[in-house]
Amino acid sequence: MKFVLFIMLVLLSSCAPKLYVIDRQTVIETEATGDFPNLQKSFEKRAENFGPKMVDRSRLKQKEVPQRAYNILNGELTSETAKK
Amino acid sequence: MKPLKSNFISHLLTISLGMQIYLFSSSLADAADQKTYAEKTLLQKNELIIPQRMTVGPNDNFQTAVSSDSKSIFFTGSTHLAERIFIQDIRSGFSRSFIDDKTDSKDPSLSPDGKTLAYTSFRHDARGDICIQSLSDKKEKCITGKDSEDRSPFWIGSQKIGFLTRRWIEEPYSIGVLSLDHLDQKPKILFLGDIADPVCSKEVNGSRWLAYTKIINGRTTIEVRSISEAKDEITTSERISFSVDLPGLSSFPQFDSDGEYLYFGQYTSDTNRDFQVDGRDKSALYRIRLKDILNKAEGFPEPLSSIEYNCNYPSPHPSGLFVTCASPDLTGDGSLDIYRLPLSGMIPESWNEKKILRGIETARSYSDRILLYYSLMSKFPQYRKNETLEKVLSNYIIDGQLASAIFYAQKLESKKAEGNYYKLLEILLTAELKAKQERDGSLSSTFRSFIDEELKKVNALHSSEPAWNSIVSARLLLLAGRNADANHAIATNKAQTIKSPLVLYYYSQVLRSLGKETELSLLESLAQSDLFTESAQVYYSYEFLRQIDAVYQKKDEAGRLRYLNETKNKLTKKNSSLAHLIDLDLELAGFKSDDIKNESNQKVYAELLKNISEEKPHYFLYRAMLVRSVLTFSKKSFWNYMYFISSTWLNVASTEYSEYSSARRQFLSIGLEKAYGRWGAKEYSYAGDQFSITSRLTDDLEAHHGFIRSRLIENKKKDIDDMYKSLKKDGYIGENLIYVSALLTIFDYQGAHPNEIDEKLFKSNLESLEKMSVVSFNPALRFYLMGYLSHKLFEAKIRAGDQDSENFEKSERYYMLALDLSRDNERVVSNLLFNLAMLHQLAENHGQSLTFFELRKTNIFEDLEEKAAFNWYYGKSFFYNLQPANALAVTEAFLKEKEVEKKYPEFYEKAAFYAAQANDFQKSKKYYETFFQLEPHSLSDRMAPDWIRIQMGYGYALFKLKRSNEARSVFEKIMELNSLSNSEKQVGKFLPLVQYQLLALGFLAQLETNKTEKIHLLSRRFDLYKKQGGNLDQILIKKEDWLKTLLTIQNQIAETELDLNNSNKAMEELSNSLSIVSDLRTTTGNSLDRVDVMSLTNYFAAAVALKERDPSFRSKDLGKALELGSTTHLALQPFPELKSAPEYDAFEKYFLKIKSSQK
Repeated sequence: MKFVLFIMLVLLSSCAPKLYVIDRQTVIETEATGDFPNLQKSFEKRAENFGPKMVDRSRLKQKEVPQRAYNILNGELTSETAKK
Repeated sequence: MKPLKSNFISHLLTISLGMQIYLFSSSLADAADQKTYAEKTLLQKNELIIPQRMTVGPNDNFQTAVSSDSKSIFFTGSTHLAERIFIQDIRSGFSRSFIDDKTDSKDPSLSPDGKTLAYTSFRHDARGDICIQSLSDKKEKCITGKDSEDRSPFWIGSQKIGFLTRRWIEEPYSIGVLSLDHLDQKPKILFLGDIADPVCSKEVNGSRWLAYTKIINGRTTIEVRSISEAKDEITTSERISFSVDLPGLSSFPQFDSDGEYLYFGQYTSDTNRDFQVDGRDKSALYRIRLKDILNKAEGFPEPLSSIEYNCNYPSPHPSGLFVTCASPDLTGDGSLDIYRLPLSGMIPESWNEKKILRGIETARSYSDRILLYYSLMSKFPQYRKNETLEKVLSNYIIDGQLASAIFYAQKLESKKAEGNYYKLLEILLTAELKAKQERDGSLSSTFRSFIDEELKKVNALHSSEPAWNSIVSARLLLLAGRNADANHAIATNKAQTIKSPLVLYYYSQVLRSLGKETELSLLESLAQSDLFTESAQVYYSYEFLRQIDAVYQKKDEAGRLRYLNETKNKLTKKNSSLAHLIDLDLELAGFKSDDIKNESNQKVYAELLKNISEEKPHYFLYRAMLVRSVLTFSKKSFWNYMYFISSTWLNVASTEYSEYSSARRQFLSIGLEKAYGRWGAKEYSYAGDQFSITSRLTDDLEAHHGFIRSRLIENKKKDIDDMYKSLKKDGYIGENLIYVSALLTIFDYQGAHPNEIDEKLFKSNLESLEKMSVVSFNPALRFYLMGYLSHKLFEAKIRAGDQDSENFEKSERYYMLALDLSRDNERVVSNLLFNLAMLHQLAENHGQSLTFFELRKTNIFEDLEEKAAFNWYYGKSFFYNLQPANALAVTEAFLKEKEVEKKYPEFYEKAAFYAAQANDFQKSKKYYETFFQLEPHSLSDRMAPDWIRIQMGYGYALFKLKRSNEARSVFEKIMELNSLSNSEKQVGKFLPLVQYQLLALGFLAQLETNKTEKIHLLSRRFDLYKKQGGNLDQILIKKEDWLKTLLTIQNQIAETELDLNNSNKAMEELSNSLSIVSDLRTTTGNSLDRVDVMSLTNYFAAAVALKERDPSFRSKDLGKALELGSTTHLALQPFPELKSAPEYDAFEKYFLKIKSSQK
């Protein structure tokens, strides 16, 4: 006679997929996606710098050189009209 | 040796021609006479002193107390509304909690002898207690109790503490005093009232003074009383109120250590637009002599900071004035931090009247102008007159600080009474201020009624300026949304009849709002109005050009030039600022390239220079022409001409005045721009030359960095050595050699050992950099390098499987300091943000890491490789933050870019993986197959861990899609492997082959439809799993989970045997599982574990079923099973809810059945 171990279905689901689900993200990464160490080494080198980006101003978002020196202020709206 | 003779300068001279040589060498002649340190001193004397930042980070840091040895500061730090007192070493910048982490505390106040810190603590009383702690033994003693709310401690000498106290919230505060010798006594109450921020001076000429903020009818004022201690009795005199002649509210008084000055903050403007000036608004700092307060002398407080910096909580100390200022961070939110200024504030003490006046003229912000006007009024009584007040009023109006403008309108009205002119202005300003409180798009009925009332007032007033009434009315009507009425109100006005510049200013605003004239036409009229001063005309002329730029943008240069010519021809005043600026723009359009040898360019440049030079006597126009020229050349990437104009500007600026420092700073930044321009054009030699010129003139770290990189890329190391020997010899470089040396060391090392870390080398360079004491130009780069070295040291520890909180904290702090100091430097900020994102990812602060990636993504990428690196880690960051869908979106977006498929096919694999994690298995399969089709080099080694991992991912996707045959084929390939090829073994990042094969077997078993074969696979899995008992670390499994998995497999085998009607084999398997149940119990100490119980239940259920079938059946190891079952049964009894759960209920049923059958 065949009887059903009803909990089997639950236990079955605790096979490989359950290991995927309950493990930490890094373990999932280690099990199921490429590390590509050579590529990562080159990326790491580009990601971590210790100085400014060596690009000319035209490539930056801010096209005008940010300098307080370039601020042009409005003159005072006083009752004197003599030009300075 | 004079710098003119050095090789790189000679090299430059030989490529320059004609006037360019003259200009260039003249600037060098200027430079040749000046040493780096002298230049620094020169700059410091001639510009406003910027507050120096002491603390960093996202928390708010405020309220400073300085140690007596000037080496540390105590302050309150606020994180998520929890406040704690910190102590920070001034030199290193490292801070730590001073009071323990579990207790909220604030208001640090150090005793005059420097030995005891008093503060408000919430450890024992949620309402606050005054506690003291000796700095030597760190023992805390709380001197007030739970029966009162106590806060804001201050010292009266070193033996008495004053503080604010009250029993109930409805009561006003009192000032209480306790003596350290008689802490058991009740505090002596001096007086009570709506008071805040009390403070006491040191004893001066036998007197001590108490100051505090008094709140009267919602306004604050500062009061002073003398405080005397006679025969152990402490008393105060009658109060002396003094109101400062400034708009806004006074707050946070503090005496300096000599008792000469009283410092305070003044909230001047309703900057958060709630129509009230209060603690949420911007403030500036002032000081006033105590004797002037006591003598009630007429005076004006000395301004110490401009509103722009938004500073308060002054804490004067012999080593400087420590203040709290609010500044925006990169996200746009503000945070409070501690800063330091000289005791005399932002204006150098040496500035005389002439310098201050010149400073006003050359000011670059309205706040700076106001600061300098206040300084004039403070130092020179002759400036305390209406003319100055009008100028201050005017600046507040233009800067939009309406509450302060109202103050001065009222003042001038009371003083001048010029035919209701200022009264009308006050009405207008008040209405504008009220309008800001209204919600956008809908005006309240209260506001509309208010406007109606104000209109009546306006109509009843007669102004000396006829147009003024109608303009004010029109403005009020516009604020009420009554445009047609406003139009009618000014219908008869003509600009020509207006007599006052302020009236004209508002008239133009009305016209603008009504759309009666285009912006360009308005600006054109304003620029030519004789009512305005030269500087105003120049301003409107400049705005006119900027508006034209906006209209035509880059698309229609011909159209822009045509418009300029038409305007020029129409102008009646051919010698106006507008005419000159239009001419300038037309000349600038004549430059076709940056080629200085081009004859046409040379001719145009000569003309340009001549026209600019002719305007030298007209300072504002001259400066506007220089600015326009520099920025135009910059936009066109004409670096040579940009540099020439910039150096012209510098050559002409007088070293005596603040204009020199502005000219200098822009010249240096342009020098760097030119160098970067050369680099961008791959002219590395010239780039290096330009960087070296700038570094010689300024000792700027960014220039040093650029020079070194330029020479290294051409492998000219000897040039670097020669250059720095020369700089050192001539005194052009000092302590910054430490930075240069560290930089060279790191470049050298990384060139020879990419991706490696020499901990000893990095640590020694970090220590050298940490000892640097000089704050140089661009100190951001020093902190950046220090952050990088600490980051690498942290990384080395992580790679070795260790932790390292010290280097992590150092790295983060240095990076944040660098970020704060380089906020306007996009080149530095974009790289720094990437570093910070990577640092936090390494430290597994994934939320924080993602924040930095988000900030970084809006900046430029130098090339595809950098963009690829960014998207690689950005996608990972989303994955680590449990957002696989976003990780997929980032990866897919990047894959759409040109050349990515060819150069970085690995992104397809990542897209496949993220898609699977996001449960889009169809997409996952598609991306895997695309990846395989591309035959990437990274997949060529079929024994590499990467190959297996990718196959596992692919197989899983197929499995989930129920593509059984394809999935089986993938997993079988994994089972065929005998070993993995060597790969970098980083702890936690490398799994042995067996781990993958265990997983593969699990999948194969699930896919197998033939039961016999399935049992075979499960048995194989079981055996392989069992062998890993001594290897659990390698496969990242805990012992209890290993045992549970073994149990699970055994039960799966048993079930499958039953499917094949192999009852005896099933029973055998379940019997074998009992020893594992026993091991599991020994490991966990738990007899109610779910897997354990289910396994036992299966045994008993099988035993019951087989017994029913065949009464003679004897279960193997029944005794052992009953023993285990009894323990579980007993353990279950106290938990009826657990017993009723299906799996435990089943256990009870079968266990009791078997047990009863044994009787």
